Amino acid sequence: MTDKNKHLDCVLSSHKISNEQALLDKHISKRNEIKEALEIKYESNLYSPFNSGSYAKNTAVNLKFDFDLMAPYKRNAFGSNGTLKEMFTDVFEFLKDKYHGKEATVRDQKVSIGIEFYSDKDGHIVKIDVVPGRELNVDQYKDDDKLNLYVNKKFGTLEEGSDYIRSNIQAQIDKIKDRATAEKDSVRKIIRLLKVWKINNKPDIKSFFIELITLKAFDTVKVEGDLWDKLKTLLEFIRDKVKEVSLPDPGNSTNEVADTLSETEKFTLSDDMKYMIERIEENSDNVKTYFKINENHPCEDEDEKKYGVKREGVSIPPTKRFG
Amino acid sequence: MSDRANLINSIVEDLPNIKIIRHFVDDYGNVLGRVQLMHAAVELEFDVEVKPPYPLQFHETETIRFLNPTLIEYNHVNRDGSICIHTTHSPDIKQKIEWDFNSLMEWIEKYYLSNIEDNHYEHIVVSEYQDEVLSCYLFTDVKHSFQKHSFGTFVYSLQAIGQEGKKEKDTYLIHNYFVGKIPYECNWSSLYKQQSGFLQGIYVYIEAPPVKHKRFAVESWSELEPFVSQEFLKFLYDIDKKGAYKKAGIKKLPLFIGYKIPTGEIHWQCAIIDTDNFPNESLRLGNGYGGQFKDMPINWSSTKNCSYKYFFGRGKFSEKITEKKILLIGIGAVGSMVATALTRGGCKFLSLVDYDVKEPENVCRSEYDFNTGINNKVIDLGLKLTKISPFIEIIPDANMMDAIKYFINNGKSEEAIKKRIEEFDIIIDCTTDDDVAYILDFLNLKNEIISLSITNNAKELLCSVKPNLYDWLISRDSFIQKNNEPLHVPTGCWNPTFKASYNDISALVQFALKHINISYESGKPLRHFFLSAETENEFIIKLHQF
Repeated sequence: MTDKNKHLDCVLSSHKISNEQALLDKHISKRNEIKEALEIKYESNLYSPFNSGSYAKNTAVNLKFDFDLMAPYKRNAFGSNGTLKEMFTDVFEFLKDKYHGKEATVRDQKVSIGIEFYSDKDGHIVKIDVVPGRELNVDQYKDDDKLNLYVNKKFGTLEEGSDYIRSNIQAQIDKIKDRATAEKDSVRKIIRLLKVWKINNKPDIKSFFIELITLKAFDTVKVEGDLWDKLKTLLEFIRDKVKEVSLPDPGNSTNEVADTLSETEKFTLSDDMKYMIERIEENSDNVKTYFKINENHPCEDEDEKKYGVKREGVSIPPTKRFG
Repeated sequence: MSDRANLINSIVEDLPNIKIIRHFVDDYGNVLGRVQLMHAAVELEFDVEVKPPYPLQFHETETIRFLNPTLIEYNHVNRDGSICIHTTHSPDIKQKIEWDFNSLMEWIEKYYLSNIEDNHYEHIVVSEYQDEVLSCYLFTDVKHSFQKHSFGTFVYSLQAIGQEGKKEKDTYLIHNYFVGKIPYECNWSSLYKQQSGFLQGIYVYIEAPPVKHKRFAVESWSELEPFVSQEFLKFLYDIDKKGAYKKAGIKKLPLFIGYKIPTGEIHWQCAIIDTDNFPNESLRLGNGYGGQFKDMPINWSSTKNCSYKYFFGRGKFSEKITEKKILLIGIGAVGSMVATALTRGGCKFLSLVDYDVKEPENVCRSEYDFNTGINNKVIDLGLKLTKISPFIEIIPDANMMDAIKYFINNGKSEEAIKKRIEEFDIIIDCTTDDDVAYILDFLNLKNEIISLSITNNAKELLCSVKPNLYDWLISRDSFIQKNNEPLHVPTGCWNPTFKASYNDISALVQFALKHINISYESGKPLRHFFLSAETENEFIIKLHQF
């Protein structure tokens, strides 16, 4: 029998960003380096790039820092007839020239350009996603914070080559950050637990989706009790509502964040939740299968034994599975 | 008159709209009579034959027969004029007679009065010649569209010598058809294409079925003549004159007669030509010569369409599995059962990987046979699978996993290994070798991967898939029931193995495959799952999906 609450607390504790301070510092340093490089390259065509990932929203876990660097371009940065595709390609080519094959692998992703730096002497890997966006009209960004993103690869119901308008990105960040900070024992913990699950099982789901559906659940149903009760309520909410839930972008209500998942992906996510609840209720030990402790940072048990470290009673584990 | 005949008379007399024309009497065990049925404005007479088992069925046919040879043109009438009826079982003779006569009334209404054509196609009725040795020719699809009146030779071989009743029955397999000098191969798997002992027959494609009375195969060669061309008769004449078959000691020459059936497929019937007495002859036609068939009976042999569609017509796995290239690693108890089920389920491409050798101890709970002795598992099972299905390509590869383990750590071979494995669509790992699960996960392969294993006493069957294939498996170790029941420890230097019978294992394996098939068919992603077998009060298999 596993104490679910104790285990979940340990999961959160083992995934604290502060456990990986050195890696965090490296992320910040690299982010600043990329930011400067973009500012030098694009000069006055670029407004000030800023961090928009989970770290900025206070919901990060140390498996994946989720450092997204928004690069807001001016309307005519790529010519008055320049397309969003040209913007995306230009930034991709620039970052590829600068980093690819030298100190990192650079990939074009759904709406961003992923820069994954090679493992350093400590075995640390820094990964930063640069998200190019362009203001909707000349000088409008200063007033409305709206940016057009380019959908480079189809995701959810968004077709490849289409525009995706993100607006008031600072408002998006603030909304999540404010709730995560004010409700750190509930909203923040649940988001971080769901992210631990997501990173291990469904890496393609956007963190923003997890954050918004969590807030939606907190605003719609009573989320109370101990940590497992709260988490279970969330899992049930996603199981029951994900197929029809509307998750308007806090910065622009015409943006439907639920559309970042296809119908099939929503059905699968609903089933994920259904089976997760069934298995954990059937056997509390299964909570360990779904919510893994970061074994690099195990928790201290009251008996001063490391909790979360695999132990076997004998020196050679017996064979248990056969064919 | 016997009691049985009296009873039948009294029952039939009481039936409405039926008049006994000739009373039922005993006739060497059978009971015979004649009746008249009145339906609407129609009156039809039938001889009735009640056989000794009646009201029981015999060899799945009714033991009462209603005969009227003048009705042969109508549907569901056999060549001897008997009406084809099927009714429900009843041990009560009165009830059964009522049902059978009602069934005859229904036939009159549907097929005599309304002339209904059934949607499903029934093959033409061919009376197989009762030679001393019977034969049957198995054919399958061929990638060629035959033109009406085209003819040529085909290649076939003896597949097996069996028995039907007390007679020898030889089964032959058709390999290809020659159109001119070009051979068109039949769609069997490569092992069947490579069979030796080839023989040659001749074929003619006539397009329309060679029938009289709509569905009865013609009985004489002269009745076949309108269906063939003069060119074919000349071809046959030349064969006769050359006498090559006769010189080679071949007495019976199969003539395949092809025609199209409503589904658009070609069906072949086989008429046997006696090479000592060809059924055709030449005749003078104006200034030249022509050919004709003699008025002699056709000796029909039986044929079977064994194409994939019919072979697996009664049931198979989803096409999302059968059409995939499958790599099966580990063919012990679980793996060999998976392999057999996939083969019987219509899979077309299966590569078998296992370094191990089959020993007598393996036989009792796997798909291996005792009589093939000590043998490499991939060869032993591979041969067995090709015996089951003529449509599966088996690639035995004893060393693939060994080679991967040897080279995976050298830092140079990862891409080559990935490329090799990614030639397949689905990998099924039944090795229960955690190294294998680790490697498959580590390689970050595009393939779908299914890892199956079983626990002691077949208490659980585990199925791990991507993502987290390896982690999930390892994490399950702490959950596996901690029973103290000992493992099976054979004498000698063996690793202990699990205890379980063929029945214990196959119950779980078949359940798991059923679940996997449903997942593929529905398009839902296959999840990690385990099956738990509960045996305390009653036997229950529970599915636990993750």
